[in-house]
This record gives sequence, structure tokens and C-alpha cells, in this order.
Amino acid sequence: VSTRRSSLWLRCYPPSWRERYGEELEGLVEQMNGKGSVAWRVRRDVALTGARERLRSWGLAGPGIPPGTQAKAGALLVLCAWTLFVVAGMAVQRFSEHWQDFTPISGRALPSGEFRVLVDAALIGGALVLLGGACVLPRLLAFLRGGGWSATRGSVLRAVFSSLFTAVATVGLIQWAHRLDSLQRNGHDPLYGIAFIAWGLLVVGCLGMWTSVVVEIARRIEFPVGLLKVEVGLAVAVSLAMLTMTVATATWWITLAIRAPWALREEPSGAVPSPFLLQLMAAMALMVLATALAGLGSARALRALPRMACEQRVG
Amino acid sequence: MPTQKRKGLARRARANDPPLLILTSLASGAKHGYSLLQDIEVFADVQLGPGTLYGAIGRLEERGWIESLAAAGRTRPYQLTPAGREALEEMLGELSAIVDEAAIRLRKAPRLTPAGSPA
Repeated sequence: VSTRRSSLWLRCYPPSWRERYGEELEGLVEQMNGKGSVAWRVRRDVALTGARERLRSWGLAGPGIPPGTQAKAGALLVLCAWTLFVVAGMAVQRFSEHWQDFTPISGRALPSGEFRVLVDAALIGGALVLLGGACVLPRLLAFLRGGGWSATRGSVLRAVFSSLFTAVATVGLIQWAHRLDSLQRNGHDPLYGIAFIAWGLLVVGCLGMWTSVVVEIARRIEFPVGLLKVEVGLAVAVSLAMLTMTVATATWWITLAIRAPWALREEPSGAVPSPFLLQLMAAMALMVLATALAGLGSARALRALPRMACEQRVG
Repeated sequence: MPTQKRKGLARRARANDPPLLILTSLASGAKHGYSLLQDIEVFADVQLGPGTLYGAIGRLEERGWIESLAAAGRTRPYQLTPAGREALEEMLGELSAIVDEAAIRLRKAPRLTPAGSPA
């Protein structure tokens, strides 16, 4: 087995684990396989254990995790799930612009209601996430003043530059879009289409960077028990908002598919196109995945609460 | 033994649990990773993967049940600590309690005949 390939597997493991056991594990794999190729069973075992150790280092799996770390990790998983949900929401938002214009007034009430629920839940979810951030703000400032800035400056600056770049790209794309007609903007200009996808990837990357910065900083900050309880409560509420949005989007989609399938493709009334649009299906899958992750995060955080209360009583 | 404690141990002490197998192997002396795998395969007929082995080693070291000795090249031998020996004895006690219970129940139970065959 080549050392390079072994090292690639080791990337599954958290850095501290690699530092302690990485060389031994690599040596053992080499000893087991000599110069021959590594068995599939061994590869799977190393990769799975690596993933488990990674989750454990994040406080998301395994026994023996302190309850505070577990609660914080669960709440942060909900935050990451929210970011994923925002990406899915951006894809759904593309369908929200004109569907009412293509739906007959008689069939508009139900999907409008479902869409209203989706929008309201999104607003509530967004407000809860901001509230969660506001609650942590004093601790964050204390952390930055206490030497945290030098430790996290690199990631923060990368996220800031990524945001600036995305903002410039957004302005450029908007100016370009103003010079195009509706058809060109909606897939008939391949160059614009590619630029739009690249812009979307930039936005996703930017969101990912900021989420990673927040997670990195939050893991370094010591949360008092009271604040952790608030954050867990908010995380559960955000998860419920995500569940509501997922259900509302699914029912809105089904209702339109039954009553006005043409509206999803912005085609004239009476046409019967397939309601299974690739973009909507991908967005829906992402929503379900994000909601499931948020559910897991909430459950993990909630399970830590009794142990936290117990430790508080003993302390 | 109180029921609650027994339940906890029963969850921990299963005959094919990597930590139990590693502790058992180290009970006969210090070993490094490859020797551990070979020994476990001989006495328990269980093939542990290298990731599973080091995952369990990490956990056992964290609990202070095993400790590493000076590294020899890329390998590092491990040995049982007094706390590890105590934990192993506790696990074995739990396992033997289950084995004893099973034996008692089997002795008391009437011999069963296969379904459909004459009694």
C-alpha cells in the first residue's frame, strides 16, 4: 500500500487523533497487507472508524462526551442544517416568483396558504437563528478580546474576502441580467447559465465558510449552563420551523402538481407537464436531509440536558 | 449485584466487544497493534479491523485502562493498568454471571423435542 493512499484515509480522522495514533495505524495497515493492495474490509473499517472519531471529536457521537459539549454540538449541528436549508430554500425561491400568475384564481387559495406557511416559518426560523447569535454575542466579544481574534483571524478574513468577492460577483451578474430578456435569463443564454451556476456555488461556498467560522468560534467559547439551555431551546424551535417548511413545501408542490402542474414550469394554463422538476426535487431532497440533520442535532442536544442538570446540582 | 449496575455492565461486557477483547489479550502481557490482532483472532476467532482496534485503544487509554510503552519504530506496545485489570475482572464477573444463569436455566428447563416429532 502506498504511504500516500494511507495518508488519504487518515484524513478521515480528526487531527489530534492522527497525531496520536496515525503513524501506528498506518504502520499496522502496512504490516497487515505487506506490499499488496489493501483489502476492502480493511479500507471500510479504517474509513468508518475515522468518521466515527471525527463525529466524536465534534461531540456528535459516542459515549463519554461531557453534557455541555454534547448540547453545544447538537445546537451547532442544527445551525449547519439551517445553512443547508437556506441553500435549498434559495432553489425553491426560484419557483416562488411567478407560479401565482400561472395558477387560476379558483385553485390558488390552498397553495397560497401552504406557501404562506413556508414563508412565515422561514421568517420565524431566521429570527430564531439571529436570536441565538445575539444571545452569544457578549461571550463572543469577550472571547475575541481575550485573544480569540488572533486564533481565528485567518478563517474570519477568508470568509470576509469570500463575501466581498460574492458581493462583487452579485453586482456583476445583476448588471448582466438587466441586459438580457426573460428567455435568455431562464436558460436560453448558456454563458449566463454557467455564470449563474458559478454565482450560486460562490454563495453556497460563502455561506459554508461563515458557518464554519461560527462553528469554529462557538466550539472555543465556554458556554454557561443557562446559555446552553437557551441555545438548545432555540435549536429545537429552529428544527421545528424547518420541519414545518419541509412539509409546507411538499404539500405546496403536491397541490400544484394536482391542480396546476403547468404553473411549476410557467407554461400556459391547460398544459400537463411533469411536475417532477429536477431543481425542485434536488431542493426537496436537500430540505429533507437538512431537517433530518436538525432533528438529530436537537435530539442529541436534548439528551444532554438531564445530565447537564445533574452536573449542575452536584456542582 | 444491583439490577441497575448489572444492566450497565451487560451493555459494556459483550464477548465480542473490542475493548473486552483487547483487555483480555493484554492480560497476558504487553503487545503492539499487530500482535493484538493476531492474538485476538487466535483466542476469540474475531478479526478486528485496524481502525476498530485503534478506536478501542484510544477509548481504553482515555479511561486509563491501558497505557502505552516506549515506541519501537512505528509501533508502540500497550499494557494493562491496575484500573484496566479491575475493569476486566468486573466485565468477566458480569459475563460469568450470565453464563451461570444460562446454565441454571438450561438445567431446569425440560428437554424440548423438535416441533412435529412424537414426544
